Amino acid sequence: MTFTKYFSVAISLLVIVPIFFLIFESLLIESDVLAHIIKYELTANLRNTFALTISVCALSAVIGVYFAWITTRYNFYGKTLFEKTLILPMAIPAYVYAFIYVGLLDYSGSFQSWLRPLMSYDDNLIHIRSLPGLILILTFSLYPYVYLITKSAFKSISQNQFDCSRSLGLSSRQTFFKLCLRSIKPWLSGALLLVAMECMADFGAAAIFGIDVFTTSIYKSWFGFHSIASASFLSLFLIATALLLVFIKSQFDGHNLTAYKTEVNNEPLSCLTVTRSKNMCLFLLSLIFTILTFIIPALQLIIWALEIDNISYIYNFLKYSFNTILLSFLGALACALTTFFLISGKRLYFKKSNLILKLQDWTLPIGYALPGAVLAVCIFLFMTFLKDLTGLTLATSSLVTLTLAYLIRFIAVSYNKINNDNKRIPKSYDEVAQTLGLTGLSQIYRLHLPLLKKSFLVGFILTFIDICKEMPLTLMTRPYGWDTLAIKIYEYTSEGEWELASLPAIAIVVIGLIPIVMLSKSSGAHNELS
Amino acid sequence: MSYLEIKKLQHSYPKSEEPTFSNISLTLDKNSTLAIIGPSGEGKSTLLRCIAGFENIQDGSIQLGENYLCKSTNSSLSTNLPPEQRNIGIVPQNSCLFPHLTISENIAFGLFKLNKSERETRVNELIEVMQLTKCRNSYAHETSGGQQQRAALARALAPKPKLLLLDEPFANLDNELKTHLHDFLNTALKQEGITTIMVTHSQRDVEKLAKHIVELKDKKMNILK
Repeated sequence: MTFTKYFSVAISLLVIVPIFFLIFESLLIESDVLAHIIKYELTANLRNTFALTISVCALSAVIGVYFAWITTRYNFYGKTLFEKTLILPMAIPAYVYAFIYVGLLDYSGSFQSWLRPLMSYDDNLIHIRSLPGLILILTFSLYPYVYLITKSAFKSISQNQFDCSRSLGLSSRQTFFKLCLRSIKPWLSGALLLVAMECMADFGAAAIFGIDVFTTSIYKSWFGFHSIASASFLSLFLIATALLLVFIKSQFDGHNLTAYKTEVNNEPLSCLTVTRSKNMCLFLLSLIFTILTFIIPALQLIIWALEIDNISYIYNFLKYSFNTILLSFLGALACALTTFFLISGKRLYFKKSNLILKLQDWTLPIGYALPGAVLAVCIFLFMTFLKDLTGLTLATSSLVTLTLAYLIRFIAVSYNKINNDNKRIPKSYDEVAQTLGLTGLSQIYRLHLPLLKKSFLVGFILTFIDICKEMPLTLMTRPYGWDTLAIKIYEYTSEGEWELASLPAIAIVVIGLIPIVMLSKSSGAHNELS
Repeated sequence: MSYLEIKKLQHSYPKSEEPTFSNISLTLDKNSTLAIIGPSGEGKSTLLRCIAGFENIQDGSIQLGENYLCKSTNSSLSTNLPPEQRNIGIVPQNSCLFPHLTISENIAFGLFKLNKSERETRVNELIEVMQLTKCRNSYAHETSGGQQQRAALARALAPKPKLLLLDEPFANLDNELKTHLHDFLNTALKQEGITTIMVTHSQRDVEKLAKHIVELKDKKMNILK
């Protein structure tokens, strides 16, 4: 019991303590450095980050809600296929989109090289490396969050509700705006919060586009100017902005989601058959979007990969793949095992909710909400403190540090999965097991492990995939010689080597497709995914 | 002339070989209440949906007052008003209150053509009749089944519909609550002077509320009272 308590508190503290180091460090910032940051960094960062976040949220909302609505409400050619293809962009990280479209549309890219002679024009036709370009790329990558979540929300509206609204004098269009759109507001705001957080946390895409945002400035401050204080200050600013967004969202929601469960006897919204011309329009729109967000990027990656004929590159690719798999395995195992013991401890020793459990539930998701670049600064400060305190030569960039960083960042992924499944297992199972003589470890081994092994495995896989795709945290905390596929993408694309970046990108996209295929095959895929 | 006149109505679902019902005729006077009874699956609710405009008819006509709501000859609809233009209120079996709105906002939902003060007056009037004052600012999930059903009734009555359709409105409620709601409904319908059609399986609902009774059985309609 005592060990379980200490373990639970230790893990909770592990997640939040590094943030206090960040706050403390940022207070130590020198006045001239602060003045420099405010004058040269903060204004541009604020402008770019806010313009980026607001625009991507607005575009994602329009695109995501539109596709969620048409695939829920209308029958059109290829609808079943498009329902799946519209979520495929989730498999492509924003930084992969970024280098594909920069490589394709930049001045020296294949598209402009083909177009310029046709138009007898020698200047840059498409300024892809710009804020609007980055907005478009991040929208491609992030709109599926809105699509999935609002599609699930539209399913909670019943046909009866829709009919009641029509009988009260509202046309179909008015009913969409006054009833459907308003009733999905809590889901939409939740999805937009996710999109906004992802936008603010993005490092790779902004770095490839050369746009200054908070995360790139944190990286530059630390590794370019070697000023950990200014990196901490910028990180703190980013955390404050994220908290502000969470506060705005909570104000926007008004009331909780439990009200929205579709009543058992209510039919979901029925699918309407549309006219031939509308059918064709919906089909073409969905097709064009699928081409832009998945087919073109996938084809471009394959074309670039086929151009590679360097054997030593292939050897290095295998080495980086091995590093990625090993690091992801270690990180995912640490997350899944820690979660499993936390959950088992909870089942065994905490009969009722108490302060420790509340602390655990409150702190564990924090790591996932923090941008990777910010967390890297937190971890560095925390490990430096431990080094000073113990005198041990704990390297700030070691496998232990990196695994710890992954644990803090990704434990929420496995915890959410395993904890949700755990809640479905009745407590009476434990009581029966105890009457049959099973206690402590034997109860974990003979009862909890068999019951939760599937959740454990799914939690492990989801975390593994997230770590494979992770870039800024790995970039800033990895030990020497431990480059991963994501890091190589960053390095190759920094030098404009699109072809060399293609193979690691394909590997990451294929890994990213696993949960999408896995979950879309199971029933209620949209609910599971969202 | 009758207020509601249904003539030789026929309906089929798109993929069904058999019609749901055919050659249904019915008349109803103003301010009276009709109960439609009959076994499940005979098309009672479908008939209500045809009157409300949610289902297309294959043949026949429905006339309310002097206007045709829908008219079809040889499977071609010559008139078919959309539901929002029919001015028909509907109360489904499970109230279907909009979850993102409070009780008073639900009642005000269909009053968008009125100005603010007219809207408030109408909502207050119905809240008083239906005794919903205590829960006017609550959301549907925060209220009891009886309050939800009364709110759904108030919402349907708010725009002063020409016809009210009740689809098993008390099916999920206990007997005590049913008796209570029968009284409410009787008061409200008299006060508002509204013609009503109710689909029900309950003998008590019929006894308490209906002036006329028809049975829909074997795709045919029989007048019982």
